[in-house]
Amino acid sequence: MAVTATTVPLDVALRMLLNGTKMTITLSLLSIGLGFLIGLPVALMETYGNKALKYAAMVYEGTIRGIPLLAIYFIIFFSMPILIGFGLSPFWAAVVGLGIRSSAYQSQIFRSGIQAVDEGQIEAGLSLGMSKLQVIRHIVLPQALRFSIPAWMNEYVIVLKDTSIALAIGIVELTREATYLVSVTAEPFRYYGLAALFYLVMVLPLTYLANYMGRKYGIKGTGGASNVRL
Amino acid sequence: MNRNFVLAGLIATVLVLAVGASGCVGTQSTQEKVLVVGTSADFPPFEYKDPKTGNITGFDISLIKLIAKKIGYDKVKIVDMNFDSLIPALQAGKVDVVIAGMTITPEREKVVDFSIPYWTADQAVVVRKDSNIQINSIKDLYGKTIGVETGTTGAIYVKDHVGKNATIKEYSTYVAALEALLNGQVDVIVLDSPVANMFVHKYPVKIAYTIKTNEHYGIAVRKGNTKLLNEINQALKEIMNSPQWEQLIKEYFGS
Amino acid sequence: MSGSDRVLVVRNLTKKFGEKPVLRGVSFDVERGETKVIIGPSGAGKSTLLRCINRLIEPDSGEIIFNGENILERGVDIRKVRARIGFVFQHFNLFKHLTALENVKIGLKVVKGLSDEEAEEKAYKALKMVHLEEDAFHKYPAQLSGGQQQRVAIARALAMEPEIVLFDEPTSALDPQLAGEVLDVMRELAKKKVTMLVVTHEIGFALNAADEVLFFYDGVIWERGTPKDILYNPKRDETREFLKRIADLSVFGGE
Repeated sequence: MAVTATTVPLDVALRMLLNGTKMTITLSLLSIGLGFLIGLPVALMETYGNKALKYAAMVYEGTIRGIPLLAIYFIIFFSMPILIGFGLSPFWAAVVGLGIRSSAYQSQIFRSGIQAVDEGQIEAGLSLGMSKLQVIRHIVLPQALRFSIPAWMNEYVIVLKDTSIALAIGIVELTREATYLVSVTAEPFRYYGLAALFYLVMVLPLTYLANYMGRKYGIKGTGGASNVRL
Repeated sequence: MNRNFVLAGLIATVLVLAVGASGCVGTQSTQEKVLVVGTSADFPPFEYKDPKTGNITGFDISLIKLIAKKIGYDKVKIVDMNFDSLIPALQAGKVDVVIAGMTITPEREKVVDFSIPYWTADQAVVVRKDSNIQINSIKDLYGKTIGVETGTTGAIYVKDHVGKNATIKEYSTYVAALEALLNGQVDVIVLDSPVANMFVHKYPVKIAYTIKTNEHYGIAVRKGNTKLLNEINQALKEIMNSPQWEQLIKEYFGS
Repeated sequence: MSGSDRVLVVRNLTKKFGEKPVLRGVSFDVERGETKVIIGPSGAGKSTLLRCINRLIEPDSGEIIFNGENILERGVDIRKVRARIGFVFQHFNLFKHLTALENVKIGLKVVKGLSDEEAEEKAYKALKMVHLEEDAFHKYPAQLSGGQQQRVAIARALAMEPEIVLFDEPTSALDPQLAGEVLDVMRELAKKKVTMLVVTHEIGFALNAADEVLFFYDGVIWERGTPKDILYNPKRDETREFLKRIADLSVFGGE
């Protein structure tokens, strides 16, 4: 390799970008999943919990949302091993960091979904003899989750794009692969353009998926979750 | 709503997370002696990913491999990350050494230990080819809009020597700074001369001035890791005094 | 009638919201098979009274004896009690994500633990009883008229085979035609000797379906008697005043 920039065959470039895409998708799916596992209970705590739980959930949400993702990564990946002598691999640190960050936003999404279920239905459920938990499970959540589909899809797109910040802890994904190509070819427009196309290809089906889910699972006659725009 | 589907997804996620957490790894392998090297592979020809092989390579990478072999390591593991993350990674024990065209500066020396210098670089002031900006000294940068990459020597140098006399715009990569130059968002960009040389070959830009900063690139190790540092210094000296050094330069700088 | 035939005995029930007393010692009984109608001005606490009976709202003091058991005592499993007390709401409160049929089934499955087939059979019967059109069985609440929705809500309550059904102004959110179809169903239930406690402004219904009418005023049962006594021949000024206002309103087509 001389100082002069080289050119890269298209198939080689595409293979590199595809490799990065795999990491982007894996990381984003695990992160959004972890965010869901934490975010939904936080939302329930904040809506139905006692004062202490509500407060704890609020503090959690506020704190996490107040810390930039990069700082969350640094804390988990660099500070944790120093502080407690136990660390995660870059990949799992990235999943946990992105997942925790997403959980704070997902809890907000689910909270508004939960609050969109009117009090009357909860009274009706209780009047039938359901327990509070049964009401949450059979009445509130099926509706709240449907209400949350559009915002949740949106959150997934954000998580997908934010995987690139994990480069800070050594995660090589789509954007980084594009940077590799750009740095040896000095052709930013071409390769960042291609990467943008890859992101688009990942995001566009989600719009359709959201619309499909809206039609399939939306609450009939209400407009509900159909007609999603990302 | 397909509750079972959601439930299955959740369980799968938990399992994967649990397995991942339990299998979380340190950087050391038990069998082989592995040197974990941190770099930021967007700085050719010092470090970059070779599209042909898919491996991270470059002058720095070949150099650290030679050193590692000399001091008794079986393998070198390259970890690529943001340039800004390299020192925290070193401090946190995520990597053993950093080689990334990293200039030895007093600020950095406070937090890590550097080897003897292995390269001297300057900062290039790059303008558009059709530009009639004339730079003959640092003072000629006054009043200009200057693009730099965050955290680099160029950025620090411009802030220290031009400071409030110019508008400094920071970008996360060299390439972003180059785009800004081409778009006319900045008048000049200041960056390491090897990178500037590469840009000149590919884009309608020219080097207007070279700031003789006499930056010395060094290999960084954790503060107090004297044993490793001494070994690296010893190996560096040997390599720099051998024909291997000329070969390295020929391979990556083509002259 | 003997005491054992009383489904519900309410004694000296009180409830304050903050400093505002809403129930100031309410007492009345409901006999098995009886239709009892409560009338009274809006905002006087009739809804609160009904909600205290199944403890959706906790009363401050008094007794509620349901089938011989004081359900305000500690250790009472209120869920079991609620499963035996039907409740029909002013705004229907159907579960919006479930079809008419599913709305009726869910209580049978979740609370009573019936199998899907058993629940379906009972739900069908209940929906037939309220004359829901067959093509509406698989529609969602938002696709049904208000009258249909309220009839589904009645079926949902009836399917649980309750010992008493509480109606909280079941027609006041409906325009007169749709109210009519709901009232028809309620009249049939009264004939079938379903025990009902109905809060309503429908004087016509009170007149031809009620066994007793209670006038609720100022936090207590102000006056009680047969429908004819209360509606044609009230003894107290406040009752007369109220009935006059209702009559004035109905000239303009009701509320």
